[in-house]
Amino acid sequence: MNLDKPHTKQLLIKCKAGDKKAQFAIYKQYYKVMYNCALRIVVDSFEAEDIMQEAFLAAFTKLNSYSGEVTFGAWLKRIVINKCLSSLKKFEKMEKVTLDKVPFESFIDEEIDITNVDVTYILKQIKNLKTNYRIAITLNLIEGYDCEEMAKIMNISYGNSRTMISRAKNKLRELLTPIYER
Amino acid sequence: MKDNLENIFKKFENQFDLEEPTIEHFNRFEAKLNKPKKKNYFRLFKITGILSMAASILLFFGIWIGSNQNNSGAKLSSVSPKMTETENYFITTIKNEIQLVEKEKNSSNQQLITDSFNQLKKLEKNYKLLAIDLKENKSDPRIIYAMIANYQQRIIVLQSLIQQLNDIKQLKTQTHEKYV
Repeated sequence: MNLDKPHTKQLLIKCKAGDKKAQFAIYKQYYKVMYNCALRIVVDSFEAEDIMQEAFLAAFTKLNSYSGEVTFGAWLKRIVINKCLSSLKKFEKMEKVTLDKVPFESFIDEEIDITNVDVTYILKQIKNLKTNYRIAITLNLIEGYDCEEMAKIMNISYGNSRTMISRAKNKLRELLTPIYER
Repeated sequence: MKDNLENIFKKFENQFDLEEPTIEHFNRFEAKLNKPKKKNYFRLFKITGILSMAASILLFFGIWIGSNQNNSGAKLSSVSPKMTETENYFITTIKNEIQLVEKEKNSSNQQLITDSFNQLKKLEKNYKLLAIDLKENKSDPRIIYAMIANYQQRIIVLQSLIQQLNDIKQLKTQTHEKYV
């Protein structure tokens, strides 16, 4: 299954052959999505840009291993996310989850008053979360990975992944709830 | 209006990509694309395990020539894990401050900024010399102190630059014509 547009497919074939123009065209097509994805995880704009560009370069050199099972965008995004996580680890901004088995905490998705909530406000509140929760919310709610996929990406157990997501959601809901209702 | 988290995010789906990288990013990427890829070369070596072989051959070769031309030096981080932390801290601070300065850059303060960057380059050169010294005299505390002082000096240079940039900015806004 290949969901990419035929135009993208053509470009990718050229990229594989090392066509710089095609590579630049692909960059133009995807940079914004990838940059924002990186920025939400690492927060620092300078670092996000660097990671984004390095991810493109890595993708072009590894293009042979891209099987076409998922869209190119999804494949590239995984490279971006992996690079972001290793960058965070490098500077030890990520707290380690030491417990092997964390009991699953239920998350009750109560309704929130969103009359005054917009995208900018949500993103701002996500930035206020601690690193682990920020990653969990970004990957789960914005990028749309499920618990299992996230466990794989973050190299943690399935239980830990579920717990982290539900805790992160609870915290974010708290932040999004207007002060007078808390 | 009320809604739960999942639905809120569903509603805003594909609307979260608001930010843009700095203007020059296309040029920077083009430069990276056109640069010969050294990294790839290294990765290939790593995979095949030839790197270790090549390194040992190089080492023997180096010893055989007996030259002191090896100018890569030892990093502060090679001393101890604590030092790695210290170095990372300095590097991130300096990186952040340079980024701050880059944001403020315009034609009127270009001279000031290049001046400071030249100073930074001199300090970097000094650091490299110290690194070579450190390699020869492993963990001599005097050299380690000098290296840390070097980082501190770089931060001082950057901070005074930022201070000056702010002063200029304030002067410009305060003597604006609206007071006339």
